[in-house]
Amino acid sequence: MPVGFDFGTTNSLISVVAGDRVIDVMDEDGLPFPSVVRYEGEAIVVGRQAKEALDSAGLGIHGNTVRSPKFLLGEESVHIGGAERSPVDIVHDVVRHVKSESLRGRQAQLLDGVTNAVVTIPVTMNGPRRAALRDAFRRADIGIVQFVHEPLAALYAFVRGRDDSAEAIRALNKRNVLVVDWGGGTLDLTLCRIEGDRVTQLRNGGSAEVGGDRFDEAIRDEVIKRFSQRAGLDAVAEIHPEAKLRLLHDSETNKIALSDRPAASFYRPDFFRSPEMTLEYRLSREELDEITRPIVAAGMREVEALLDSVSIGPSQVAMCLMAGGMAAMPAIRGRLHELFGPQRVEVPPNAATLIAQGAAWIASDAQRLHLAKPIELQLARGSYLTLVKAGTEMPAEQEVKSQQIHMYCTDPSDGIAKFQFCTPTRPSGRPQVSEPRKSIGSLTIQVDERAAPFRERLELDVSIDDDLILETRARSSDVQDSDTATFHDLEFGIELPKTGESDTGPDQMPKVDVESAHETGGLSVRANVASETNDDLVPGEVLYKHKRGSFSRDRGGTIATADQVREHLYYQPCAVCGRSSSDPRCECSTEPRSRS
Amino acid sequence: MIQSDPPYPEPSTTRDQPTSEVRPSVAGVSADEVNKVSDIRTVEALIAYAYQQEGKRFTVPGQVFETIARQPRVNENDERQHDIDDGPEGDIREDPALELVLELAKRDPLLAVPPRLLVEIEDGNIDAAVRKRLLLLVAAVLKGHAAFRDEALQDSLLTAPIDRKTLFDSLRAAAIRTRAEDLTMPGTPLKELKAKERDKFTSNALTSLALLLSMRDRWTTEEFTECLHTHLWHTSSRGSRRPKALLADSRTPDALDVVADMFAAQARRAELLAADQGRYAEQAIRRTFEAQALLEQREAVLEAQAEQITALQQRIAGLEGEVERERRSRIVDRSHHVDDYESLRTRVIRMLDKQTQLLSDGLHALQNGSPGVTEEYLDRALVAFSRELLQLKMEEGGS
Repeated sequence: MPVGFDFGTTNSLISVVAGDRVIDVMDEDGLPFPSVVRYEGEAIVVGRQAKEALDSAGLGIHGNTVRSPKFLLGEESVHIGGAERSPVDIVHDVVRHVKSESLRGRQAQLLDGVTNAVVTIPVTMNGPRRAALRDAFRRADIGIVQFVHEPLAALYAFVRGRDDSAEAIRALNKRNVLVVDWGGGTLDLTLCRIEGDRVTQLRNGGSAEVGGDRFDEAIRDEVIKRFSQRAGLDAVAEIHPEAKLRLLHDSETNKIALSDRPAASFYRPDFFRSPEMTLEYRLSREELDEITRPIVAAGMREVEALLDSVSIGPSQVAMCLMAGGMAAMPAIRGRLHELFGPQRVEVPPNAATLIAQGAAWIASDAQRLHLAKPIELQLARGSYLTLVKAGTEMPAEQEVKSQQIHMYCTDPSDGIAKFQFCTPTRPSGRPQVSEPRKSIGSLTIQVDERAAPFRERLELDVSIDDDLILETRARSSDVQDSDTATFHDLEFGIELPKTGESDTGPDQMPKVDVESAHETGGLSVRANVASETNDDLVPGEVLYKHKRGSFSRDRGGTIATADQVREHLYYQPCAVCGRSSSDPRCECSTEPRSRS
Repeated sequence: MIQSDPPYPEPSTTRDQPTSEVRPSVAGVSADEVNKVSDIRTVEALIAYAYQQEGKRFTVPGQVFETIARQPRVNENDERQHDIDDGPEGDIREDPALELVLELAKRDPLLAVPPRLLVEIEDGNIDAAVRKRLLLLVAAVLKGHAAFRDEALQDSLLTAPIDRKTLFDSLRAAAIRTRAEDLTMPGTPLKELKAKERDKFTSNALTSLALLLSMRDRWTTEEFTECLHTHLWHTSSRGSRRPKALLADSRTPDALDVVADMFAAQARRAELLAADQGRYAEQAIRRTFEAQALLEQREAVLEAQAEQITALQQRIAGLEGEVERERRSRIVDRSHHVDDYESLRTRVIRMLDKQTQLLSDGLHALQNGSPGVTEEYLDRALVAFSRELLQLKMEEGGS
């Protein structure tokens, strides 16, 4: 059975379902494996040993150490400690370490050699980075059965792990859930919507500046600053490097101690090298709150901004699910309680490993990701053709789902066929034409400009691979031109554990602010392709050029539509006054008779 | 039927036309001496008389055979008497009857006499020794004839043949094949056999052999009839005459009666045999049905046993599945226990490690004049120990 693999920002962890519960495969200290790797010449140090040597917070490269290497994926190469390394190699080092250490543990027999895994990814991880991550796992001899986004995994684990999961899903049906994954490195926010048995993402947000490590670093730096001021040390006082690292650990310890004590002391002998002095500082809870308040506030602003972006208030969030190591911090909990009310904030006891557990449950239940919104092609005159339906199950490992669509060009007069791809702004199984959409990209290919509409054939290939990348390729039959576009940022959902009730009911989506949801600033093209031969789709001036008879009034009206007649006349001078038809001074034009 | 027409070459002798030709005289017996049947006293005289008839019908009264039987020369122990497998010349000279018959046979190339003689032997109430001697003499005649040169035919004159059909087919072929010069006496002008003569010759040869073998080997009437029917009657052409006309016009109704009785008996036997076979077939069918029923019964038993085996196999599979489930369950239970244990172990270790570090720092603070820090650290460590102790007690109590 595949395992769940949370390749997290701060820590990585393998979880596996055994019987009716999930088992987290921890290291020998009972903790997850830090996603940190340090390169010391030929030696590669991974995990806790590498992390404990790191005296600063923040993601990325710190000298010869990399924290959260998954954020490097997508880059060609990076320089670490003066050497050029591939991000895939760095990720591979961490994944291999987690795998080998897990297989050395006492739960190895449950892991089936860790040959297949459901791997969690941040919602912001795009297609090329997913492909690179798959490559790194493959090099560690782990096949990725499927990717699953971290907030979906957390929500799945929360529901699946409950005794009353069916009741929980019923209670949350047609309601919004905010997943707050506040870990050591990042804050990831995902607003989800539960419809029947399915959960889909509505909006994602977060920050890499308010992770748990930032709290410890801020506390440490503030303690040093305050002690230095009190002791009259100048800013250039030399600090012993190892002492600074240990003080960072003390900050974490005291931060926890202050959750049930009014004050906690920092005592670090020989902290200062010159002048030689012991650091001793008593930090009160008020001071701690004062130090961490800006970070907590920044995190909460992210939460509010996310809700604002979809124009929903905290009261419209049925549940705020907390995951990640920072879920235990009282200050954060307190702020979330203030915002949503204590009853709607869920902090499960397994919050720190909730994502890995979700991946394990998904692997055990053989659940598959589904496309949250349909992928559509805009056709001439504003209709839409669904290319990939909402709810389409995503391909399994080494699988590709593809289809070919035969199309026509309605207006080849400029020699270009334009394919405009879009998706509804909100999840919907069958979106109406009037529903707002956002453009996700376009394709243009050359066509024969002298050809009549619908004469030249266009072929459109659409495929989705196991890295959840949508690829489109268009070809023209006469000019033999082709163009390809890939789309990485699709939106996904997953089915929650079956409850025996799948009442999707009427589509009562949250009141998303459509205007603000629109992507602005992009240039979109007027699509001129169609999937059927229908003269109504051809612009009037083009129809007149190739099929003049359509404008004949012999039979009491034209075949051309009123729009086509207007389009045709737009380019013709007025027959009476000779002015351009768009000239406001022309007052002699009459509405042509037409069939519609 | 025995062909009684005059033998070839004609006319050697005829009763109506006395000839100046001197009849052979052997052992003091001349053919001319036996003008009447009542004159016959010896075997030689009988033979001479028979040849004197030249193939015509004749009847020898029973007293004549009795007289012959009383003659001293008719003795099975008389070494001078010829036996069929005796050597040629030397022995023949010592047996005047043989010498006579062989001499007379030369004048009967178409074998007209042997069938007549054999008919009389068969018909008469003859002493066994006389009968045997006469048969031997006839066999000697046949043995010396050109049509019997074939090795199988020669052997048949000594012992009972194995394959009668082949034997008679061979004789028929030999009779047809035999040339005229092989049949004529030296000095007799060569003359081709006419078709009718050839038929008579063939008929005489086949009849002679059939009569001889039937008498010597004690054939049944049925065997004899079947032999003649197969090799003689069946092959003879009846011309354009219809069967009913032929039967009505037959000059030998007695013979027809014999044949009819024989075939009627044969039909009855066939009927009985058919009835027997019918009964046997019924029994066989009954046995088949019984066997079928038994087979079905066995098949039902086998099917029941197969079902039982399937049920047992399913039960085994079920038990194996149960064992596998138990095994998996045990693995799961074990993994749960390991997980519980590891969680507890690592939690306690982490706590102890952290508090040890805290106490160590506290001690260092005490030694360096910071009792406040020491006091706080001691308090924190104690709180942590107490909390852990409480949690352990609660877990022990299953809470």
